Amino acid sequence: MIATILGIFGARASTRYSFPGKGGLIGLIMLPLVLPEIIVALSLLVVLLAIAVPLSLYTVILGHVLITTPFAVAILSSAFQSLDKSLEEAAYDLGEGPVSTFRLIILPLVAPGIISSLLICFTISLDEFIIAYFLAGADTVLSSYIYSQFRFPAKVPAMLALGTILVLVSIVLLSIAEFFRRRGIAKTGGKDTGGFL
Amino acid sequence: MSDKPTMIEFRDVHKYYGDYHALRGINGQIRAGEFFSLLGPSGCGKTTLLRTIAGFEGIDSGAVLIDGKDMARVPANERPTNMVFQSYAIFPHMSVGENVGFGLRRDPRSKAEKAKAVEEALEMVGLKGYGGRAAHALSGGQRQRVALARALILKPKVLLLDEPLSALDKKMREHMQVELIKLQRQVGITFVLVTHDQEEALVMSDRIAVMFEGEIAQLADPETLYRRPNSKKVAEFIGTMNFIPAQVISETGGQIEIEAKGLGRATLPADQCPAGRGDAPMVGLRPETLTLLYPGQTATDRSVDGVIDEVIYFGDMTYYDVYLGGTDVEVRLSMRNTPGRPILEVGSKVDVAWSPSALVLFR
Repeated sequence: MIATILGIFGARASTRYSFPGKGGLIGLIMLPLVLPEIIVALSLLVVLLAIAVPLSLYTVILGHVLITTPFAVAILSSAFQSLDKSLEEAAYDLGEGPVSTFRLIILPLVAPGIISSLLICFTISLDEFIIAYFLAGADTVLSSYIYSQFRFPAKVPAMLALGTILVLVSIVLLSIAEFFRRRGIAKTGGKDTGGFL
Repeated sequence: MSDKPTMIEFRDVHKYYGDYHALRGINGQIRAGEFFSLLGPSGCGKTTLLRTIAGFEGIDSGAVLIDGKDMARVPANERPTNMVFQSYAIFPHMSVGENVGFGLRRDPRSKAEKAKAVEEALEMVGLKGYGGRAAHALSGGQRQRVALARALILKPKVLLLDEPLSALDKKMREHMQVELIKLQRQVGITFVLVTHDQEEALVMSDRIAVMFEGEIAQLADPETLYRRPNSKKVAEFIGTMNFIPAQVISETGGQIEIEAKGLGRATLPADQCPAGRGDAPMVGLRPETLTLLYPGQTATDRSVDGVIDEVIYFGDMTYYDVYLGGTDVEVRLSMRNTPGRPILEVGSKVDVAWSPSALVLFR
C-alpha cells in the first residue's frame, strides 16, 4: 500500500521542476502541511461520501498522498534548486536530448533527495493515524489496528512492543533520509540550507 | 586574414526579455578560425549574444547563421558549437574521463577508440592521466581544463567561452590566457570569448566586438580598437585615455584642423576623426604617446611645456600627471623606468613631446 504512495508523490514532486514559476500551485500543494490533519481527514471523508466513493485502502492512500506530498515537494525542490542550470545546458550542448539529459545528469544528482523524500514520506505515512482511522472503512491500517487492539487488555503488551518498534523504525528511517540528503549536498559541492533534522 | 570565410553571421538580431531590449540590432561577422571576443561591461548583452549562438536563447527577430546555415530551427544539441561555461558545469557525479567523454556517447566508434580520444583530449589540455579522478575534487584551473577538453573532443566548428577565466586568480588567469591562444592556434577552431576584462580581450583576440547596452559599439582588431577608438565610450572602456577639450577650426577635404586646449593647433586626417555624435569636441590621447623630455632631448614632432602635479610609481613604469602649457588641462603620461632615468618630482617644470598622429577627435 505504502509503496504505491511513494511512487505517486515521487513523480508528482518531480513535476514541480517543469513549471518552476507556479507559486500558487505550490501553495496549494503545501496547504495540508499547515492545516490540522483532522480537518483534512474530515473534509476528505465528507467529499468522498458526497461523491459516493466507498471507503477502502485506496481512500487512505489518497489521504496519505495529500499529506505527504508537501514534504516530498519541500525536499525535492531544494534538491532541484541546488542544481546548477548550466549542467543541463552543458549536457544539451554536448548533443543529448531533454530525456537523456534528465536521465544522465538530473536524476543522478537529485537521487539523494529522492531517496530521502521516499523515506520521510514512508515514515509519515506509517505513523499517521487520523486519516487512516477516518478513511479506511472496513480495511485495516497498521496505526488504526494498534488503536483498536488497545480495547483488549491481553493485547496491550504486544501493542506496546509494536509501538516501540514503530518508533525505532521511524527514527532509523529519518536518520537514513537525512544522511542521504546531506551526502547529496556534499557530493554536488553545495551549501547545506537546512533540512528536517 | 580578411579572406577567411565567414563562420558566424548576425543579421539585425533583436532580443527582448519582457520589456527589456537586450540585443538591439546586432550585425557582424565572425570569421572561420579566428579568436573573437565579445567585450563589454556587465549587462551589455555579450553573454546573451553568445547564448544565441549556442542556441540556449532564442531571438525575437533577425537571424544567426553558422557556417552559412540559418540556426533558427536548430536546437542547441544539434548545433556545431560547444561551450565552456562560466561555472564550468563539470558533472559532479562523474569522473574526469566520463566528463570529457560525455559528448561521445552517440559516437559509433568502439570503446577503445573513444577512450583513446578522451586520453588525447586530456593530454591536449595538460591533464594526462587524470581520467580516473573524481570530477568534484578538482581545483578551479583543472576544472576549466576538463571543461575545455570536454568541449573540444567533439571537434566543433565554434568553441564558445563564457568568461572562462573570471573564476581564476590573476597568475593562473594570465597563464591560461596564453595556453588558450596556443590551443586555438593548434586546433584551428573558431573561438568566441565573452569577457568584461579589456586586457584579456586585447591579449587574446584577433578581433573584438565592444558592446554597450545591447549594441556593438565597435568591431575591430585590438590595435585599431586601442589606437583609433570610434567613440569616447569605447576609448574610456579600453585602457586609459586623456581627453582634452578642443575646437574644430576648419574642415577641408578630409583634413580637419583643430585647436586643443593646452596643445595648440593640429591638422588631423579623416581616419583620426570618427563620425560625430553631437558631443562637445574633445581630443583623446593615450598616456604612452606622450613623452617627458629630459635635459638634452628634443621632440621629434611637437612639444609643450608643463608642470608635474602628481607622480605615481609602478615599478616598471612611472605615471606623471602634468598640467599642460600653463592651463588647467591635466594629462596622464607614462614613462618606462629605464636605468639612469631619474624619477622627477612633483612641481618640476618639464617639456612634453606629443604627436598629432596619436590624437583621436571625438565630437
